[in-house]
Amino acid sequence: MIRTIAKNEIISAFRNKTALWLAIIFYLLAIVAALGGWKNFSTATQQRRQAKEMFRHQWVEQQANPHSAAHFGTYLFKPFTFISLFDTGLNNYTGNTYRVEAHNQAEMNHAVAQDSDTEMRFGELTIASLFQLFMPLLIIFLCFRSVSAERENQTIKLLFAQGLKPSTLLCGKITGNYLLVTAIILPAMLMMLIATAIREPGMLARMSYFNLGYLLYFLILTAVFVGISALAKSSKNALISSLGVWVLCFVMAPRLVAGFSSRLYPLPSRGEFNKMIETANSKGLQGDKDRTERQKDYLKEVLSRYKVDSVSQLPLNFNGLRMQYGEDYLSKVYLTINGQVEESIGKQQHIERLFGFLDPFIAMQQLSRALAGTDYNHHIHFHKQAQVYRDEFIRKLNLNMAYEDRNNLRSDYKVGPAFFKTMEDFSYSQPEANWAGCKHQLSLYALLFWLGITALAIGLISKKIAIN
Amino acid sequence: MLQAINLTKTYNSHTALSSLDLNIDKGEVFCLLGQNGAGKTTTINLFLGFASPTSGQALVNGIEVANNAEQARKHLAYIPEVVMLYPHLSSMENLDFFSRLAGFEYTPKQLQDFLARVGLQHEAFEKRMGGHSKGMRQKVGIAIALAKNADVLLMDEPTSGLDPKATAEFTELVKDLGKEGKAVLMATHDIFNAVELGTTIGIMRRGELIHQMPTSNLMATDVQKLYLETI
Repeated sequence: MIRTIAKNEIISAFRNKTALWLAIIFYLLAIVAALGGWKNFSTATQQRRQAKEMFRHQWVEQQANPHSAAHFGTYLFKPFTFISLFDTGLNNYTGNTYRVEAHNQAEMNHAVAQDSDTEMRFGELTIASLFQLFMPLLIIFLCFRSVSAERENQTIKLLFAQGLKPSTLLCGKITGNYLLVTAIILPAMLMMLIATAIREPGMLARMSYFNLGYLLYFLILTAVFVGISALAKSSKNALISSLGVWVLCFVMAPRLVAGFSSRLYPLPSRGEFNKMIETANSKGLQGDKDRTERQKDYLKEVLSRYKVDSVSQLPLNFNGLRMQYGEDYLSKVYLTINGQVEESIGKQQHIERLFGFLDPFIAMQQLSRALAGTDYNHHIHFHKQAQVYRDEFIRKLNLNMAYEDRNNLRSDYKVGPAFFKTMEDFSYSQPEANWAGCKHQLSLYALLFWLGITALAIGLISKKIAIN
Repeated sequence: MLQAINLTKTYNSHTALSSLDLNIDKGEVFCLLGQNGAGKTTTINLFLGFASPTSGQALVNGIEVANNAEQARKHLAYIPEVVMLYPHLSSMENLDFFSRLAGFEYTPKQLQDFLARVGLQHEAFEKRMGGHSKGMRQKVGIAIALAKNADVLLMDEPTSGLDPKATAEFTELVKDLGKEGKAVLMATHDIFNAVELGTTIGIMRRGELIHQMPTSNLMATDVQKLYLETI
């Protein structure tokens, strides 16, 4: 019987051309989103490759004092994965380049949103925003009349008189509408899978989970909106209620939750953060001495280690060691203070994930970004690798100066390509899909919770369906 | 087959049906007459389980509807006053759809036979219901009831909207159903039709069954006189 009801729902949607029009609108938007995403992806990928090659070339070909080279530094680029074009997530806001420079632990810079007024105001049209925001609207337009119209047209009496159970009616309606949704969405998902398999086979698992996550999300939404249609007194009420849920859960709640979590766990501004780093570096972390004292102690320790009385007697360039000592301490300061900030962001993220239990949009948004590799965790993952690379990079330069420039020639001491080529280029490896999934277990549980709750609610609603 | 025992339904302070006792056996065609609001549709809704009785019992083949509506409905077929079907489906598709819900899968030939039996024109078989007249929809509704092959038929003013020829065909059809052993409860305003096809007539007023009589020796004019006196 579920099959019969579902089939009727599908025939109705096709013969009324509802499904056709919704599919046309969806694919027009999907084409715009895909083309826009592809353009951004290919442009950014090309720019980054060119910039990376240019900086690498400049780096290895220079003839410079190691410390000057450390100040000249280089840039690391967060690689654009193909899958990230489907959900740009936080990528446009978190920055995509990392400056490697002596005496400075950099934050990520050059966010796409900084360069785009439109994106600042409207956000980017991506496949994810289509799936997260437009698809719920499409599902509303497919489902809002599903049960209420049966009541308005009085076909519900005949349906029940024929022996149909209310629960079967609801299951049939959900099945029919969900099959329509999947019929609309599956070709797009299939294309995304094929494109990923061609462009980035390593990301196929992520892409599969990404699609499966959305299929689960659409099932939940279909059940929710069919349930609303069953409860509403009229189709008009069902539409208004469904749109109300859309505005509340899909437009307002995510912003309110983000605002709430950032109020609960406030973050310092960039200026405050830099000042905290500078203060801690200069005055010392809790229990540590100030910079001058620390450096005096370090000098004593080095002199004692080499059993000499003065810097001039040292068999190395102390400036190199001193700068590395300063770098090590700066790293310690940065890890401590940035760790506190990351902890706050982690708490904000946790709050947002918890709200996924109240709003499936939030859960899906979190999971989608995680699988696309554009969430905060992936940003941190890149940032940490970049930071480790940066520390090793500067260390190698400082130690070269310390041990190779034994005559303290300072700026007269220069090294060339033979040395700079030994410094390996930065290569970022993105974590596996499982890693992303593990970081967002709560979002996955929230979606499964929603599936259970909607199933339970549909059972209860089926007992309350009014005939008139 | 169809039994009402002290069946009462009140909506707030309004009594829609008061202590109805009714027994309709196999082969009996019971026509309920009465003005609008007399309680005819309420009686049918109580047998269908679309409303719960305030007191008393409605039984279909011994199954109490209030406790097991879904089980009771298996034994019932229903023709509403205005048959509303799916406009996007043809007559055949509607019949097939509702038959499947009742657990029957008919061949196209069998479906056509049901539609032909109720007098639907052949060219309307494959036409979508959206273009059907009320009478044509009513015929498809009757075909749906026939296809369910239920023991009991509940009809709420089924000839409403049918032309005289279709009404005559319908009358013959219901008579045949009675002869086949079906129990029929029909609410109607059409006294002449009720006398023609019914085996028993009941006249209701303000939720009460005032008169109940066999039609064997009755003339339509006698019933009309009694009806006018009663209401």
